[in-house]
Amino acid sequence: MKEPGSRPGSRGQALVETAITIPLMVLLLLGFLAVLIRIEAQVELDAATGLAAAAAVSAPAGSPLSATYAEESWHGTLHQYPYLEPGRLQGCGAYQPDQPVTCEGTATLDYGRTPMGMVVPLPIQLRSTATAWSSPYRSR
Amino acid sequence: MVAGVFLLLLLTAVSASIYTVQRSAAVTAVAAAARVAASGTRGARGANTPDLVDALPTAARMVSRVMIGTRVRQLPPPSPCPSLSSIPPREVDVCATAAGDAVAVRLRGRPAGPLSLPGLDWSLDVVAQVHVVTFAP
Repeated sequence: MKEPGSRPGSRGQALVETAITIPLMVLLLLGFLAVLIRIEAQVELDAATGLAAAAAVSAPAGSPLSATYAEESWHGTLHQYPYLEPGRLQGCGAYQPDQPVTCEGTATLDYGRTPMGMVVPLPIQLRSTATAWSSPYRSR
Repeated sequence: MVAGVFLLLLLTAVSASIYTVQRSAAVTAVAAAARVAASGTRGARGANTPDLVDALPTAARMVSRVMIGTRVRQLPPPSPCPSLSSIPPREVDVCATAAGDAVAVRLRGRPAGPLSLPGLDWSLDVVAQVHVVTFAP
């Protein structure tokens, strides 16, 4: 039925515009959510790597326990985020007096199991570096 | 209809943004609190005793600034945090525990958001774990 005063085809035009606009808005929202999760994941990786470096420097000097402490702290902090797959923690070698310990952590952010996979189909590699110094008053 | 969908998506985006800020603050807070907990306490033999008690105010102070309208409850150490289902809305619990040579600070709960829509009451469950600092004579 034709509404009085409406031009021919105007309802069809509105339908087409709606069919184009709504998916675009949903995709825009998904992209926005993907950016937010990317930020969250980087914050979480930075926090875990920072704690790993702090733990590595608390081990006895010259001990391989530095790497063990760092791994425990890193994995214990990073395992809560469902989209974030921990990668490797490198560089947390044996602490030496008067020298800093620098750790580098990597992780993979995978949107593949979520609707955001439509916007970001490929996994994103994240990287974080943290350095910790020991107290200058420490003897060993 | 388009206007309704637009408003719904806009509210979702705003809610997600605020949740991101809250979660990022929670991660930073528990990491800072874990460092406090890993250090020693005051008093005799305190150098090798994790400072679980002072870790909780550190985390609570940091998250309370971004969790407006949310009750931040500090559980006395070494009590673990209750399950998420038993924490009421608009409340987050902060707890610190020690296990072996490591200490963990956890924040769990449902912070207040700008919307009270079903499905948008996103929960938080973040933990930071670090090896304790020990001192040898």
